[in-house]
Amino acid sequence: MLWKLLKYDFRAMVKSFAILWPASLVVALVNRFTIPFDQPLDNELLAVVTMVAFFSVLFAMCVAVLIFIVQRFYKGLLGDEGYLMHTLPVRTWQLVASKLICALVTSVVSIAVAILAIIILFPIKWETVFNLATFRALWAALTRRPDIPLFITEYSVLFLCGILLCITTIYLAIAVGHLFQRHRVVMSVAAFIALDILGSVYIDVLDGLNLFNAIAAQNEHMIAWLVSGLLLIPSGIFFAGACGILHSRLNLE
Amino acid sequence: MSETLITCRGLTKTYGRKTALAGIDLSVGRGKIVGLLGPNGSGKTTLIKLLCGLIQPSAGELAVDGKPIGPETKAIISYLPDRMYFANWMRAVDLFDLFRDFYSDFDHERAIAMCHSLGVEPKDRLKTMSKGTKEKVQLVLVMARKAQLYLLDEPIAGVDPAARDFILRTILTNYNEEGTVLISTHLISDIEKVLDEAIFLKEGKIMLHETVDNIRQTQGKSVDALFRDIFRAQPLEGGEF
Repeated sequence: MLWKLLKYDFRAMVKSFAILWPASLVVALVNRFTIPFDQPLDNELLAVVTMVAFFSVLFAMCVAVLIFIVQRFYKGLLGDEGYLMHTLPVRTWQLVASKLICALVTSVVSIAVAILAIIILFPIKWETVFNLATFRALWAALTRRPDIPLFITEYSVLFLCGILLCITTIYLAIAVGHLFQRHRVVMSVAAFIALDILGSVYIDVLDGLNLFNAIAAQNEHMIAWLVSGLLLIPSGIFFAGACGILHSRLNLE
Repeated sequence: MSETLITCRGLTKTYGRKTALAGIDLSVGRGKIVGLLGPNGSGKTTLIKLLCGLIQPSAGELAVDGKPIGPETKAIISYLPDRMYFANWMRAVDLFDLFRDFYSDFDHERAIAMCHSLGVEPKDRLKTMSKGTKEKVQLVLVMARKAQLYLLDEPIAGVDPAARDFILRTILTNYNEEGTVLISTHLISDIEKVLDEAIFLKEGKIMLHETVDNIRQTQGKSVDALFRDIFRAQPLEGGEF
């Protein structure tokens, strides 16, 4: 059933970002040919306008991702669409998991599009990249540190865990706000602030234990996995909390 | 399969200090068309939402087909809410695909046929449809299922008398006769002729649960007339009705 839910959540995602993702790439491409990075600017005004347009698209993308995450959960499960979703023969955790996976993928793809847009925008001298010396230096670095791909994997996982925590914090905050009869949005914002403070306290406590330095001294690969694990714990709790509230205290008045 | 389709024992629902349902006991069998009748605020929608799992009871027990509310009961309930519940970017056929994916009793071909008979183009986007057409799509979604329990929340409220007949005819010609239809409304005269049983709700309590034949026989009046007697508002001092 989760796969079936994902199918519809991903379709909603594509509908929401069908214009924004290509638009940011197109604006980057326009900038690429408008701004002569390696020459003095002939038309500074045009360059400024296009740069502003580009960063506006990126900013809009960040805002759109945030709105998408909030809206898909709030309107999709606690608004009018909730009348459809909560009457489907599925478990509550499947509804929340589907939204969560979709939000995670949306965030990652948006970041990838942003990086791609920047690569398009700033001219890369491929002749330098494909220069034998460059490859030689890269190969030397990789042979010195053959675990670089592992590091990249570890920190990518850590990054994903960070996004996961952000999304589950938003979900739990919205679910907590739903417990109140009135001022649900205000209570959700208050819950988000409270959860954020709680998260900071959690990190401070862990930091106080001097765990990270001790583990890094033992095995530098352990640190990213450890931090990922430590981020997954509150993410799991927040996810379970949001599911619990929606399961036992759902109140679509 | 349980003989009783809906069972409520001491079912209570409160919203803050307001009691919407006050410990009701109710049993509804299979193969019936039941009117859930009462004025606004009597608890009709609350009871239907509890049966769908959209709200949780404050106290008491509730079962459909002998099971507590959950995915198993949702699989056999077809619910028509009192509002639009779909995203505007979808088309009717997208919703039919969704229902086919989740409900094994959804008849896709019948849904398309119903659309054509109701004058709805299933490939049109919902956002381009009028409110009335969207309501028809929602009605098609509900009635194209061979459900055990149809929960129809005010299906004829806010429409003209001709449309009421049209909606009722659609319901009556499409529901699964082995299942039960629970229709909430306060427009009793329009649906009285199709009802097998009537449940009168007042201030969160069941005032009466009887077959329509028995009401006519014992009370010597129609369900509509009895409803007016029970729920007649008291005029203000000096006022008259």
